Amino acid sequence: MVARPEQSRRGIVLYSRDSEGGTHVVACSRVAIRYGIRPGMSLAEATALQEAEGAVSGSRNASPLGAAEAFQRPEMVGVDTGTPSLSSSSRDPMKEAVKEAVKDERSNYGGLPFDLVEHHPEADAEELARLAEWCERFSPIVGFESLDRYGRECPLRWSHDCLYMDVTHVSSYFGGEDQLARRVVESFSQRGYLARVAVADTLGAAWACARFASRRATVAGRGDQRAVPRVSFSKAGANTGETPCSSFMVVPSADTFTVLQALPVQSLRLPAHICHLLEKLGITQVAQLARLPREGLATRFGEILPRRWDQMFGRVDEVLAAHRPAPQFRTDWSLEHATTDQATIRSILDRLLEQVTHALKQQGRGVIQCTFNLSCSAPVVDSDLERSVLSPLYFRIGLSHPTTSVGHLNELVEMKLERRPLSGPVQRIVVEASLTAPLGCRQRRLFSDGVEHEARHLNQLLDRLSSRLGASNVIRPALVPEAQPELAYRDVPLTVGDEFLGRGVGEVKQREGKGKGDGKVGQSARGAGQIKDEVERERRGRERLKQRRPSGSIRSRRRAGRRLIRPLHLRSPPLPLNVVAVAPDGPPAQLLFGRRSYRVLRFWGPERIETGWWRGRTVGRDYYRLEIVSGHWLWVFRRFSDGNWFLHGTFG
Amino acid sequence: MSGDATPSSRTVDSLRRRLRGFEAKRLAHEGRLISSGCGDLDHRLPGGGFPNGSLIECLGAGSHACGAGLLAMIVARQALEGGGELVVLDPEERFYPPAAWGMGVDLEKLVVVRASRLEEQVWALDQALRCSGVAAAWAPVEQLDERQFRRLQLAVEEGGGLGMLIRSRRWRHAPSWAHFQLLITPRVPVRGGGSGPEDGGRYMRIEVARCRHGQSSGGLDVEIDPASGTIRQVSDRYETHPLYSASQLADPATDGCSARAE
Repeated sequence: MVARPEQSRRGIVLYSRDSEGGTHVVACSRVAIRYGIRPGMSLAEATALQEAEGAVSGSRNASPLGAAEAFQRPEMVGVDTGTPSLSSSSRDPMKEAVKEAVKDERSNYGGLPFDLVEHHPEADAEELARLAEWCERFSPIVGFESLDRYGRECPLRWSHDCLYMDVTHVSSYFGGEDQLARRVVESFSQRGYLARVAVADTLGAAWACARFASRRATVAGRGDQRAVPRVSFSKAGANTGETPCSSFMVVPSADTFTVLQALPVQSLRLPAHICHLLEKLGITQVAQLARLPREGLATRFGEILPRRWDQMFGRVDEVLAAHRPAPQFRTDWSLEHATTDQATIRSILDRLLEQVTHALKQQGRGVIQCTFNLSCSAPVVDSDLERSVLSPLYFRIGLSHPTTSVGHLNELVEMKLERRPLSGPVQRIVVEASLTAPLGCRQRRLFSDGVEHEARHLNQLLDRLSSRLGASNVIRPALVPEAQPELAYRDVPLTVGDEFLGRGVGEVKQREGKGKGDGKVGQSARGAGQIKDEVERERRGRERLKQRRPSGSIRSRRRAGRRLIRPLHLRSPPLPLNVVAVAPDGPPAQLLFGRRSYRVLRFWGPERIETGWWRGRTVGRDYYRLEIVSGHWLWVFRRFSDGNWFLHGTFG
Repeated sequence: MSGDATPSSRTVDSLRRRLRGFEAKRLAHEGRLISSGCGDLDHRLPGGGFPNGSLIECLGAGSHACGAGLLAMIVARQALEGGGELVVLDPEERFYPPAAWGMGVDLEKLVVVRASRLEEQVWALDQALRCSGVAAAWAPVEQLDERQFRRLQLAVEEGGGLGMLIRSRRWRHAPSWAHFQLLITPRVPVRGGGSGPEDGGRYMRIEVARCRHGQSSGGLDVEIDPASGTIRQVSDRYETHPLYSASQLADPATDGCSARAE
């Protein structure tokens, strides 16, 4: 719409297809809204509304608008203009309203038809990235909003619809925060956009105010100085039911809580299912949530709710991930004639790696993760296009430490290529250092003690193992203060694997302390400096953990010192056992396996573990260490709920 | 040496002692001996410990509960004291790190490698043993052909660490490239039935069945103290019960015949 202003007088409906083949309205223009069309309704309903009035002249196959037009959701979001909302039970009155609206439109716009345009989220993302770059005139740090509020519902990188700017110490150049916010709004208006801008102390508060605060709640804060002011602006009128218009607000630090507590719970950037759950419980406003005991929030609504709360009120830090990625080190090689010759391909890869590492060395950086894209001309012919289809071979290698060693990188590439045969002759090879980190520079010792040599060898070993077996299969375990034995540790991968990629630039995977298998070190494309920071933070966390009073199994272990009271092998799931006990709840005297029985010679226990009620199911077990007549040592437990016995581990 | 030994056997024994002496001097000079954690067991090893760059096969009656893995972990812990890291191969994903922590292994120096296929296990073990930054590798691997075994031997000699292979006793007479072969037999105290921490020792018989630059020795009866994780020699408080273990029956992958053969 920015590129084609004449479209602003037409009714435009953007629709998208979901994974099940259905179509629904994503956004619509003000003209379309007058006809009763709303975002979220099915396309069939929207079409029926228009066909009923003969207002449709476009088609679903209408050529989509360009990127700029597709991005025009800010002008086309669902806005309540007073017409009755469409629902299944109110079609007849709606039709009457639509008739009136159509009559008005025809008289006003000369019967201009509607256009149904398929939504292109990628184009939105591209335009938003361009806008982010343009916004750097207001702040040196501009970033996208984090998408974890969507949970698993919408983990798409093009779902960003809000930009953040860090305006700390910047507002003075514009004459204050008010002037800065006004300038942002005016600049967006000149580009044809409606923007809602909020300046607040935290990202969460700025996001909430930009989206949900009404203009009546606006508090002027001229000259108010804050430590970390943020500017957030989002698509106008979203979720607010207000007529879209540009607006801005500045929230002084002292009034932050007052302003925020009047907002709906959706302003906390929560996933939809949590908002729905809160709504079912009658909690619709932040103020109501504030009255609830904090201890129970995480248990009932998940960890995200207290985290969002703390982020909104500045109790925990939130990273503003800049949209502009770190300088990328990328190089490519196009072959005149595609080839399958391995020696040629390896030679090219070697050269490209040398170029990339040379560029990195210039900046004192090393590769943490490297991406390879080999465009192959596969012997597959697309019948429609009648040409061979390129099926690229795409792989990444992750490293435990930054390196510029071409030989080491080549070795890892060889390993990948051995396991992934080429699908056809290679036409183009692209090598990119997708994650880099500063190289540690240390003065060489005249008489080396071999420690550095060993450390380098160890790092290379970890890289090789992770490259071939996968990052999740080469781990360093870390103890977790958890009484339930199977959750008493978690895996920490030693290299950056593929599971940390595929997210938007600057996305940070939050670590959730869920125990075994869930604990992954979340890395991002922010730069591997943060990786080291995270590892260091984790180490410090463990130190703090050691200093703090431990609970559950850790406490019992501390009491007993480091003792051989846990088995070297743990069964998952535990193996059911038949046990003969002298007393009903007493220790086992005999174990039965099929037709064989084994007398218990010695036992130690019970060690009672009762935990996990907050996870939904209480785990209650009496553990015994047993020495059976053969001299083998077993770890068994009796489950409280039904008295059944299980073999949970063996002592190596 | 028995009194009825022939002159030739005496000569061989004398030469072996001299060879052992040379080897011990060389190893002691280079400071590359790792104690097993039990002085009496060390005395039965040439030089008084396991030399760095050794492959040690711990053969147990059943691979999961007989004590072979425990003994191997204790030796690996000893190897960590000289620096480096411990690599644990975990093919069945049953290794429980808190147990290693309880034995005094620093988890900051522990790397767990999970590989399901045999060739990947051998490759990973080969890579780990070949690395000079690895002090010890702890690996429950059953099937190894001669070529793979030889590869591991060369790898550990290059890397200079310890390779602890935990295997079933059915491989006792199979060709082996290990520098040491230890037979582990679980024992139980004669007066069983105790249930207190003061009576919580774990008893086993360790036999050096094969030893490069040395000769096999008789069994050594030891007790592992759960509180300290130390090994000490004991005398006659236990007896042998060559019966099936529960874990063997519970685990179909474990060879039941090995226990019967004891």
